[in-house]
Amino acid sequence: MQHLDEGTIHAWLDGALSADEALGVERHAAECASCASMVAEARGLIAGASRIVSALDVTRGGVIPNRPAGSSGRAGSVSVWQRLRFTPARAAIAATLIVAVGSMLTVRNAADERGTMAPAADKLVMQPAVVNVAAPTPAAAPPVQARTVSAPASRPAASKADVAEGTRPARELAGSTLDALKKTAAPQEAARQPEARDVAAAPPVSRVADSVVSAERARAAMGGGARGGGRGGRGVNDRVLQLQEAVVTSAATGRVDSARVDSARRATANAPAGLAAGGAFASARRERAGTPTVVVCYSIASPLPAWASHIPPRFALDPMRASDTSATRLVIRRVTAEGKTDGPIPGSWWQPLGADTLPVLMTWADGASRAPVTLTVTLDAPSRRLIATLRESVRTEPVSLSFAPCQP
Amino acid sequence: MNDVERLFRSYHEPLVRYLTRRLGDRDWAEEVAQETFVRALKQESIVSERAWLFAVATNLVRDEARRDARRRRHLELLREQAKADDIVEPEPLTIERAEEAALARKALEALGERDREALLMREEGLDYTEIASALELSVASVGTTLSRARRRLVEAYEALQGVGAGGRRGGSHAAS
Repeated sequence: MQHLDEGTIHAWLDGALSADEALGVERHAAECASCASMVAEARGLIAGASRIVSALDVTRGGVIPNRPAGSSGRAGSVSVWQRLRFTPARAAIAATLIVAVGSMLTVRNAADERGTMAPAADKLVMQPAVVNVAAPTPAAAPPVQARTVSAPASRPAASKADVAEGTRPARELAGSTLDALKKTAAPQEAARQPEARDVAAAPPVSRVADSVVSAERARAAMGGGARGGGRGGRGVNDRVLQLQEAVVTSAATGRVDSARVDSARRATANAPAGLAAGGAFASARRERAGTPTVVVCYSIASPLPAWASHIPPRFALDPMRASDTSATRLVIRRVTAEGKTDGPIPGSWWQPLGADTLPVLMTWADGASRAPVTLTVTLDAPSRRLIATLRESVRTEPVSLSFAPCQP
Repeated sequence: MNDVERLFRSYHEPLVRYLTRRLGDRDWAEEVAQETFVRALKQESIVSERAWLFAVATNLVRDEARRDARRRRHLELLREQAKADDIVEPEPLTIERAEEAALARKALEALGERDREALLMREEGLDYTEIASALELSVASVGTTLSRARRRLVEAYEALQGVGAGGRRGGSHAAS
């Protein structure tokens, strides 16, 4: 047999030769001193190269500097919020104004509908409103997305007032803003609705609350609640998903189909069960450099493992490119306690994994040496539920993720 | 478990490690790895998943290196800025380990591109068939490629060590 060449020796040591070839090489190496020496040298080279390659693993990550909270993500720039000195107190005042304007619109809307819906009111008000986004029943809406805090599994029996009003489902679906207002106006009712606590900063505007509650009662008495209950659950879901799809598609294609987004938003705004009231899902559309963008907000309901504790419980996906990286990284924003989107979260980004819809992949780095935590979100088509999985190296952890209310 | 999860779970970590070793920047490696998975999802079917993923990642790195040197400079600037901004140090590197890593990086960069990629893929556990497929080589030539890469890497590393040690000796002598 000819002497062994170096490539063959390495292939043999790497286990890449067939059994026959390996046997031949082994026999020759046992008999030939020079080849045995080459084999020994090759072993040394393999081990040495491996050690050198391993030394590369101390490469540092996190080269992008951490920025102060609320920064816009651009180096050296100052957040709009910081520039406007947007304090929590001012945010509360602004929220009050928004609620007041919203209430007026709701009252007007109710008044407009009264003329057309009144004949069916008696009939509809007695129908059991099936959909409860917060606590779905098997016959009704899937447990989607809608609430950051789910309602108790067993609810107390509806009070006489509730039955008489026929409004409870409608009010639930009308969202957390309304619930928060009711919390002030009717503490007992608010106590039965834990989701109202989400809107912690609701101001004591009992008069506004009264008017909103009255308007909502009127609306429900005219069938609004029944309408919402009858088809709201799945429909609302679909609209949310439609909007989500539009957002993700726009991110994936690098553009925003305004018509599609508008259509989805109109559908969402017209959702009878109160998406427009800000309860289940709120989206923000802003003009940024002439490009409309839509933000989708999420809330993590389950406790996070320690290795993922740097992920905030609420955050927003913005299809805007992260300014200091490539097109594949899109911005993840903070969501404040008031439910408003804020500056980008340093070290985090997201990207759509599919061509036009979920799943999406989020990456969360905490600036430490460990590998970033990723969060994949997919959609379980049959149940229309979000499935979210945290992952860090070999560790995985499912988390309960839902859409959350937020505002621009 | 769907395809996305399975692919991600099986190959994300080795791919990122391969790319980090290749690029010397974990963030960049993560980014390229994600782009690789995005492309994998758009693929109807993949015969050899690992070889395919490593090949695509390698091509992405090559393409990017060719057409976007500017971004690399930007990353360098960011890295400098990160130092200036007093970022949280990812891990407390000892001076020796940092020097060793720098030498390893230099030695690796002394290799030809194909040798370097073959070596890094082999270190990630790809077999000769997968390496051949990813780098469009014949299987028979992989052994030769790897033996050359390993020898050159070790020689380059030792040479750099000698220079470093000589430099340090010279420095200390000068200082004394």
